[in-house]
Amino acid sequence: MPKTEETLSLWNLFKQGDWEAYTEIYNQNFKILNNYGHKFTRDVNLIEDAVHDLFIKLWTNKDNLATPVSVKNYLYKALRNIIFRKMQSQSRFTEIEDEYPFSFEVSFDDIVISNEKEKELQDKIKSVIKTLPPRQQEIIYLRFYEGFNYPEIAEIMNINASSTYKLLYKALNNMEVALKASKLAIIWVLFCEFHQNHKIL
Amino acid sequence: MDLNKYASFSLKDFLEDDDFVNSIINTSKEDSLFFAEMLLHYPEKKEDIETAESLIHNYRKQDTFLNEDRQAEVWKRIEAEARPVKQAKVFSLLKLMRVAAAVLVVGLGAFTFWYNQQQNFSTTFGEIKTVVMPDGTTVLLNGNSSLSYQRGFGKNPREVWLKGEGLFKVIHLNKNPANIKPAERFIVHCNDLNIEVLGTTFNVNNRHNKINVGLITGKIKVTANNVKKAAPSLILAPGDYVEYATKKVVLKGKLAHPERLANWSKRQFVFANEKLKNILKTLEDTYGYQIKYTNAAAMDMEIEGEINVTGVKELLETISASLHVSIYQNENQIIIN
Repeated sequence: MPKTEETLSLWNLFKQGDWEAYTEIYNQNFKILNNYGHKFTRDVNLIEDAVHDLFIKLWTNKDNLATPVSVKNYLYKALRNIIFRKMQSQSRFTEIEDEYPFSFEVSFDDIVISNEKEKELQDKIKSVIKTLPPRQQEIIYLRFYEGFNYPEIAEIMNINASSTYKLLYKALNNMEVALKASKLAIIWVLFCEFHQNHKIL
Repeated sequence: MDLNKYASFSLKDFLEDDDFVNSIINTSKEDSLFFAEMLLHYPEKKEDIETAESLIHNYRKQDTFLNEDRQAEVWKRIEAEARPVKQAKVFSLLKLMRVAAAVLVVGLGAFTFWYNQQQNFSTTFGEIKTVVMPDGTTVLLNGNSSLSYQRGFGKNPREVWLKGEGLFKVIHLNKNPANIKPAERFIVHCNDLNIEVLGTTFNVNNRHNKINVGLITGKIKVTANNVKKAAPSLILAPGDYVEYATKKVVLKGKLAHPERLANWSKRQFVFANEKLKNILKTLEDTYGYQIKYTNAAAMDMEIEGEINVTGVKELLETISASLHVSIYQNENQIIIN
């Protein structure tokens, strides 16, 4: 992951019309943007079109762009907006009740874990995450997978800072409740007790 | 970092805490020290800390979709649309000058140089030009196209190189079509495709790595340049068309109205049951319009029936009326909503 100062100087070069810098920004971010987009839709064409539109927009508007605190953050926010707009126009004829009518899906299918305990925990996480509403799933993803901080998440999800705290709190609370309700919590307690006893002995 | 606040932390509090989460996500030395110190201070928090850490680690072990295979392809699209045209022209001009300079340096005899020098003809967007070659053959060049041949044209087999689109009317040299001498041949080179002409009118469209050849009168032989083995040639009869992409035939068929291949020469647009994106592609390719659209789905809509109009304005009006989309034309840009 390139350093923030590097990406920002790249950004400034790009704003001056440097084609190489623009290319570099694309190459640094293509994969992570696809990965993020894939959480909203499995329509690969739509994701590619969104990335395409995002970069075309960047180039055409480069003179009017501000310098963002974080380039990655800026790109995520812009991509999310484009994907939402595209999906909304696709589903123009279906009813939209929620302002967030899209799913957010994290998948763990391809991950192979040999350790039994880890596998159990992974399964649990999977089933707990699935029960959360999409917005809560997204905030968990942005926080724990992408490592964005609260102000950055607020910016990307287009909500204010206090809503961000509340949303994450809600999501974690739901997770905790679900985890506690599971046998796994007990296993964990036993596991840790065993560890402690072991040390005492 | 302040450690005191962790005294009363629960599992959830740890997961909410910026410093704690960051220390797990970006494990640097400083952070792991912080971690060790905290465990020292609050051994009773060991379970919560370990659970929180394990939860984050395991959550982060998830599937990724990086779409690496498509990175270059998507970039090509972006480049084609965004890359400043001026810059590209200067670049190719420089390249051309460099090549010319290199030829000079090599210092072939002045005559040889003159003999081998290429004659180049090219058209800008929207321009149509007639090129009459030394043997009387005429080539009508569509917009954004180029044609070149050696100055010594006509002594040996006649050879021309085409990019873009051209309508050829080739003059016969041979009296006996069954026995064509090498010097009587006429060959059109398009990237990796050769079209050998046996006296004829035909249209060639060589754009986007696709070459489309349609024959109006006469007879032509089409051969792909295959390095590995001699690819079978195709002999086209009037009305036949064939499309090549990467040295392979991708489309082959019979045109109902072969004479329409020449429609562009009258600045006439004829489309039958065509998708919007293909119609717009023509405007982009030969007239140099920039197409912007907000609704990707609309690009796949098909206009039923036949369009036969003269001029860009009329074409846009027809599209707008039949697909119920609004189209704005702003100089070089066409915006579709």
